[in-house]
Amino acid sequence: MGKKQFWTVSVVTLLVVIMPIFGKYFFPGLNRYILHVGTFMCIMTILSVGLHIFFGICGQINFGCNGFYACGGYIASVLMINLKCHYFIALPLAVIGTGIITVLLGFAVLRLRHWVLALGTAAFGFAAFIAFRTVAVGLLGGDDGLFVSKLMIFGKKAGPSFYYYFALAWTIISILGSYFLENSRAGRAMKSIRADEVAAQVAGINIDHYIRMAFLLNGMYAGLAGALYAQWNRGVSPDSFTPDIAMLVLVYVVVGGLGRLSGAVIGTFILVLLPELLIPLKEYELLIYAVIFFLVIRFMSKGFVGTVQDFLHRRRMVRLEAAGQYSQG
Amino acid sequence: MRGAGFIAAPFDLSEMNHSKVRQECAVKQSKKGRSLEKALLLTFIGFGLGSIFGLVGLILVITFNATRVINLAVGEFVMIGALISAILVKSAHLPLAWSILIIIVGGIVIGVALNWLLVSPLLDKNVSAIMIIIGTYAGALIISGSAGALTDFAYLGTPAILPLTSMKILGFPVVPQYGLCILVTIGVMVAYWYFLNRTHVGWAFKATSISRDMCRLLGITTSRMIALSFAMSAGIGAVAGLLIGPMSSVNAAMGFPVMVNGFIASVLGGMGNPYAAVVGGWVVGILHVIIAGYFAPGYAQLAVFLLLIVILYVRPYGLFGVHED
Repeated sequence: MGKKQFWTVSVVTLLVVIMPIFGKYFFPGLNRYILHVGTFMCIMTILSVGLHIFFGICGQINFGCNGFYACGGYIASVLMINLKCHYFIALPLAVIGTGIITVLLGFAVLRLRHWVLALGTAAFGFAAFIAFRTVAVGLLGGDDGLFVSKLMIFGKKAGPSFYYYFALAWTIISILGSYFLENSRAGRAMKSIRADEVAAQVAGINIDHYIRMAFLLNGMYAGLAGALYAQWNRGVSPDSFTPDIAMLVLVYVVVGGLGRLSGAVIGTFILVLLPELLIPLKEYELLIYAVIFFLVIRFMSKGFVGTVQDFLHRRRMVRLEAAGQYSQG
Repeated sequence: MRGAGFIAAPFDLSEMNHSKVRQECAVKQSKKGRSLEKALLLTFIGFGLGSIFGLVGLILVITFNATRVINLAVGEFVMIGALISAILVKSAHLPLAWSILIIIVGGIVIGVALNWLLVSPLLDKNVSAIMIIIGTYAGALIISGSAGALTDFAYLGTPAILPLTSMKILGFPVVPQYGLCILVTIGVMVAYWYFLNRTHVGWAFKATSISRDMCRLLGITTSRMIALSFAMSAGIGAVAGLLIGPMSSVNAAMGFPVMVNGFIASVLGGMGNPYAAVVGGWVVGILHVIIAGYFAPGYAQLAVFLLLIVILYVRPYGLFGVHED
């Protein structure tokens, strides 16, 4: 990380940390809403960073994020309701449980590649969505879902700012995890798999092992997001985990800039905020969202981050050329 | 959550049917010795429903072969067909032939527009396939979003072309509307085979699916072939919408589940083979209806997904597929 990037990241982190305080004093009426959107954004960021590991770094497609997300949420809720676990115990257990499900699914689908893998994972996402609606209605609540009681911390009810900071902390941990993974031995192996599977294999990389590892990380990130969502939303219902979520997360990652961690984060930020700004448009909301999304795909096919980086790079080249420091020959 | 529930498409394809037919089945079940008849009727309905899935799989394969891109907007072609037929019947009392023509033209316009605005420019820019696939998803959102804004996502009814009640032909229980689905699907398959193997354009089309660059060297206008693939796919999709309309709840959000089932049909058969897609559609449809008829309708879609995961595990490239790189 360069010095400039380091400062940018620090300033952004500081901004999101002090945002609720800022909101409290300047927009007192909107504070709850800001925290709500902020928490949702954190949860979606964890999801998209997880997908970034599997899709951006390792180059494999996953259309089934909503399945893992749902597993995390339901495992945490069931643990809290039926086994009376405390939330702070249920959360890691939900992550581990989702990890186990991910490994089991991996045995079935990870020998597939490209769009067949996409459909295999999508099938899991759809199946999970339908299964949580129809299977074991007594335990999982069917269409109505489950209701989780409020979280108590030292005898006090946790407020929206607690959930915001809790989710934010996990988001920062997830982003750091992904960042350090990318620059580690495993991350380099995954990147080489993305570039060329056969070449990676020839270079002595156990591709199955690393793909499985990336898939497991993706599942566990999504499980974490689900567990966070379950308590914040005070319950889960199948409607929170529709297959649209998987599509949306994929869109966040791609529109932000595929293969870049900053792309996943910035894409999530912009695309979660965008519908909020479009609320006044009512029935045209979906249409306008779709048109913007369409235009981004059509004219910025490297994503937000890629396009901006290209633009800056080109400008720097022009400047250097004008200063006579750089020539094509 | 805002932003999350854009397509509130419940996966009710299993319930979309035939509440009428199911009631009949229940009545028949109460009489003794009719279980065979129920099984036959369900199989027939499964074939009919599967034909629609097969058609959707077929149109997915047509564009996939030409562009190597999976078009996630195929469900919207079907939706457009069903929606236009519902509106035509409601407001203008056109004769059937005219409305079929309008439906096909409407579908073709949408398909060619999608190709012209999105797929071809991106193919020329050489962006990765996944980006184009996500672009077609954006196109699907635009189509269903604008259709939804026009119709308020209301549920519309379309009348059946043929009766939806079961009758007996040569001792076999038959539902005429589903029979029509089967016949149209087989007709489309035969026509497509004829087009591919017996016409000059079809040969050029086939060559385009093998190598676009080579075709360009040989003087085939590949962009025109790609546009043709989208036109064919959208036209057939609109007809599928006309056929499926009476059996399902027609609204602007119906495209997504239809697309998913069509996608499953094409992968089940083996992606890239249009005839295998129809066979895959039949498998999906029969499983759907059997599970919905004998167990709960809620389990039908779940069973289809589980079947897909099992088949992908056993045969990763589909029932009739071959491994290709």
